Amino acid sequence: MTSLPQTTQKKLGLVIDLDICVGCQACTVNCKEWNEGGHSGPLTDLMATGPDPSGVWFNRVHTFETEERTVHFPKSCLHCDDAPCVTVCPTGASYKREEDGIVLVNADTCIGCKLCSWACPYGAREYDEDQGVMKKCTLCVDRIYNPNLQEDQRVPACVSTCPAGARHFGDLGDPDSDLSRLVAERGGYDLMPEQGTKPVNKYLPPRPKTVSEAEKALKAVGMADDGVGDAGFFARLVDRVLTK
Amino acid sequence: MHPAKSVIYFTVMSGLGYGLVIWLGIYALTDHNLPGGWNAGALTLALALVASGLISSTLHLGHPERAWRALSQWRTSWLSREGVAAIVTFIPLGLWWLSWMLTEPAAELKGALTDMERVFAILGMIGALVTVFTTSMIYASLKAVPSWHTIWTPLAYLILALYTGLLGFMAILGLAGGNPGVIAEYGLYLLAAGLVVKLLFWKHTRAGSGSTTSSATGIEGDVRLLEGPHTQANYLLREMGFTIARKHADKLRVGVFLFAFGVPFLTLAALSYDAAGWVAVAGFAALMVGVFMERWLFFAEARHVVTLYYGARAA
Repeated sequence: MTSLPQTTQKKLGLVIDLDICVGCQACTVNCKEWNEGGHSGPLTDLMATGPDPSGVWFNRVHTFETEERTVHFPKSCLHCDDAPCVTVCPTGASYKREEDGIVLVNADTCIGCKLCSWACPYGAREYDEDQGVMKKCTLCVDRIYNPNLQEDQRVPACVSTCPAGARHFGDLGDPDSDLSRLVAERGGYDLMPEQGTKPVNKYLPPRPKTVSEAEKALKAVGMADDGVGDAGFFARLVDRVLTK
Repeated sequence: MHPAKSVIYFTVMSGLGYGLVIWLGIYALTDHNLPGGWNAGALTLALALVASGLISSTLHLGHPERAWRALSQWRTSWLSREGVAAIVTFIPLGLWWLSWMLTEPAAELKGALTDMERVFAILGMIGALVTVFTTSMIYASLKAVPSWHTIWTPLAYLILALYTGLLGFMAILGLAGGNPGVIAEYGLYLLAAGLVVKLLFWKHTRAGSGSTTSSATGIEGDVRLLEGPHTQANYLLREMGFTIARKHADKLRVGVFLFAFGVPFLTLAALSYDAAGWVAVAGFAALMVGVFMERWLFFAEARHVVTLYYGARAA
C-alpha cells in the first residue's frame, strides 16, 4: 500500500558527518558489495569493462567546494517521513515500513514506470535496465536484523566500513538515542527542507574553520603568509616602503 | 527531463482523442449530425487515438505485463488514478460507440442521439475531462520538478486537449463536406486561452523554485560541484539531466507559437469567412506539429532538482 504510515515506531536512519568524510568511496564500494547479493540485488552493471560503463549504486559520494573548503558529500536514500516516491507509486510496490520507517521496493510487483525516481528530489532511486525494476538503498535491512552476524556488524554496510567514522546508524525517532543527541549537539540538518519530504537521515555540517588560529601560530614563528610570498629582496623592500 | 517518445505520443494523442470525444458529443447533443457513416467513424477514430496513446504509455514500462497492478493505488497515486479514470471512461464511451455502430444508418432520421446514447455521451465526456486532468496531475504533483508543479500544467493539458479536439473535429467536418466555419469562433477562444496559459506556464518555468546547490547540500557559502561521484553518465543523468532541448528551447518555442497558434489563427479566421473544408485540415495539421513541439519542450525543458547534486546551481 502506498499510503504512508501515520507514524513509524522507529525512525531508523543515517547521520553523515561532513566534517569527517574524506571521500574515500569505501562506503559506496562496500554498499555495492553487500547489496549485490542482498534484499534488492543484483545491482546490475551494464558493460562494466566497456568504454561507457553504467550501473546501479545505492550510495554515491559527490565532492563540493566553496571559497573556504572542500566537502565530500555521500548521498543515499534519506528514508523520508513524507516520502514522495512512495505515494506516487501506482502499484504499491514502493512502501514505507510502519515498524522502522525503512522505504523499500517490492521487486515482484514493481512495473518499472520510473515515476518514483522522478518524485524523489535526491536521486535516491535508480532504474535497473536489466531487471526492469527500480532499486534503492534498503538501509541494509538484511544486515541490521540479521542474527547470523555478530552484533557489532548489524549496521548498514556503509557504516560498518567507513574508516573515518563519518557515518552513524540508529533510531532518529528516539530523542534520547546517542544519534539524536549527536544531531542536536552538532546542528544536524535536512537536505532540501523546502521540498517538504521530512528526511530521516541527517547531515552534520563541517565545523567552523580554525585557520585563523593556525595563522596566528605561523606568525609567531615568522612563517605567516604576508602576501609577498617568496618575492626577491628588492620587491620586499618596495612592499615594506609602500605598506608604510 | 528526458522526453520519452512513448509518453509524448501518449499525452498528445490521448488528449486529442478525448478532445474529439467532447466535441463530437457536444455536436451530437445539440442535435447536429455528421453525414451518414461519419458519426460512428469519428467516434471510432477518437477511441482508437485514446487506446493507442494508452498502449504507447505502457511501452516505457520495465514490466508491461504487470501494468494491471497500477490500478490499485488510486488513493495516493495520480498515475493510478489516471489508469482507473481511463478504463472507467471506456465503459460509457464503448457503449455509445457500440450503439452508434449498430444504429448509424438510422441516426440521421431520428436525430443524432437516443436518450440512452445521451447518457453514455455525457458520462463519456465527463470521464474524458477527468482522465485528461489526472494525466496532467501526474506531472503537476511532482514537487521535485518545479517547472511542472503549478496550476498551469493541468490547465494547459485540459485546454490543449479541447483545442486539438476541436480543430480535429473541424477537419473531420471539412472532410465530410460540412461547414467547419460555424464553430471556428470556439477555436479562436481556445486558441487565446491556450496561448495565455502556455505563456504563464513558461513564465513559471523561468522563475525557478528557489532550490539551490546550497539548499540541496546544506553547505554554506558559494557551493559548486568540484567532482562528480562517477565519470560516466548514470540513470539519473540520462533520465533527469537531459539538456539537449534547453539549448534549442527558444527556437522550439518560436515553432510552438507559429504552428500551434499562428497558423491555426489564420485558418480559423479564414474558416469563419467560409473558407473551403481543406483549410480546416491544414490548420489541424499545423496545430499537431505545434503541440508535439510543445509537449517535447514540456519534458525536455523541465529541470529536476536532483541536477543540483550534479553541477546545476539552481532549479
